[in-house]
Amino acid sequence: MLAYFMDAEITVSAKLVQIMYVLSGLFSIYCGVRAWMKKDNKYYLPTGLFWTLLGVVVAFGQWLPPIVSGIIVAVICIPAGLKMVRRGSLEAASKEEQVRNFKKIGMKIFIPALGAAVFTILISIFLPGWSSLIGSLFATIFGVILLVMWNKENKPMVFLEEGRRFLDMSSAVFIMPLLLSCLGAVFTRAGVGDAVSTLFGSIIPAGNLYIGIIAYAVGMVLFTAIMGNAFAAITVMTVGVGVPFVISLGANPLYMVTLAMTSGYCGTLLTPMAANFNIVPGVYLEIKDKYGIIKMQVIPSLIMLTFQIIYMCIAAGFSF
Amino acid sequence: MLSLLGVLVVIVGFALKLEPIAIIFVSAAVTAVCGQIPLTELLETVGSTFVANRTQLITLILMILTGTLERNGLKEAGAELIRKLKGLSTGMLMAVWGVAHELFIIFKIPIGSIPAYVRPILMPMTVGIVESNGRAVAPEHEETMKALYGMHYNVGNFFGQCCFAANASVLLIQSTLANIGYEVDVMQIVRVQIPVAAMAMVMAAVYTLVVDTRMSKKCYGAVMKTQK
Repeated sequence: MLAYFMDAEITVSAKLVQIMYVLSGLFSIYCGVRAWMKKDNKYYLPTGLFWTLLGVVVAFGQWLPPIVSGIIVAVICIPAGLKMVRRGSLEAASKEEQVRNFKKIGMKIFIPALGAAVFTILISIFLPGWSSLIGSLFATIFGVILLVMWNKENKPMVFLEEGRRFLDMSSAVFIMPLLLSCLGAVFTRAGVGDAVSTLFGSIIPAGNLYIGIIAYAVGMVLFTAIMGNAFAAITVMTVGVGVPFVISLGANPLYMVTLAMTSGYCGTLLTPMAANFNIVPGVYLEIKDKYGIIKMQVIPSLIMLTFQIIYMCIAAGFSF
Repeated sequence: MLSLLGVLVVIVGFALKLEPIAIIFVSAAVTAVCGQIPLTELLETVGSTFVANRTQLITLILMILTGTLERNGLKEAGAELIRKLKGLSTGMLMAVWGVAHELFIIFKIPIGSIPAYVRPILMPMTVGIVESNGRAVAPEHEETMKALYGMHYNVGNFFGQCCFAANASVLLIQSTLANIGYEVDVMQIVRVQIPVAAMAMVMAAVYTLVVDTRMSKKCYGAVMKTQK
């Protein structure tokens, strides 16, 4: 690990990204250890295990052998899958306290709140080639310094416990998108893509361009909805449906593949599998119906899909 | 065809509303057995993919800041800001934010994530509009606002991102086309996407206005605006 940070071949940007992972991981470990110490929910042992091991793989993943990371991921799935990762008893600061602090600090509280955006823009303008992700690291450090300067009550424990409250609130669903990426990799390795294209080949009549376009776009929607990820769907659907049923009939490939990709996004809008877009934001907003966002997205998704299918049918004849 | 069993696990699991992480776990195991992937290779695939993609957990570090910002009055500041805006209805505020959000996405400026901005700033501002009319926000209206913010965020994000040339999705479209024998420039892909991004922006804003107006009339008998 020390060798990594001493290595002159590795860019400062890459090192800072790793530092950010180490700090994020240590924070998760802290949350796990606190859950064990506070014992404030019935499942404090599995809850603590989940956050601690997650922290280990986030912080040190770069240096762990893949098989060790894989074992850790498999182990943390057990408490999460058994619904044994629960919230502690942390509550938000009272309205009175928030008002009192606002009177003390005032509108300049927006400065640290906008930090992540501002730092990311500054990095993309002044440090080309750097990962814009580091903006989050700088924003956190800068924000913490300002908050400590403005309000003496902001002790280190306040930051850690308030952060733990937010992590508790986001629960184990927090890692679901990442687990889906892993599932996608397993699917690819097992040849699920080939099987799907064979399946589609047996149900779509060949030779009609418009039926082909609808099958390609709707297939993207369905496959994306199942996987929760349009990226995984596009390669499979293009080889399995796009080429044999649409592009081989002379349709413009640039328009077909590009629009099939964003048609897939209509599927993302419809599925709980895309938890990071459809479920997790609802948790942050404390929405009561966890499928509330998906329900709100049904009509917009269908409008966008119809628009794109018509666009594909028109653009099919454009010369390439 | 046996490898499709893993996909079937996912479909059935979600249809039955089982615990998502348990479904993924079982699906991966079933796929590995059917696809004859040895256990060590399965674990290595999962481990390396998890580590390579852990950028998705980037909000971990920001959480240290977010909670303390709330404690120090960020919500109150958001409410204060809305008192300065004149004649803006709840639906208009959401629609204006949605359009701005998609523009930020197109220019790759990450302003407006749900945990960092919508929850601490925009939700209190929107609720503040109703309260500035001397009314308590109706629970049904508040839930609609949350769902509309979630919808607007996703629509702007998905259909805006393909207008940024270096976006992962654009690069994936380019490599998919190259795989089937067509070389294109990323800017050609962006040009194809512009009508889609424009349509998404207009559609989401109009949809928000329609839904919010109907909900406001149902809950309060009128559209809630800030005082002139």
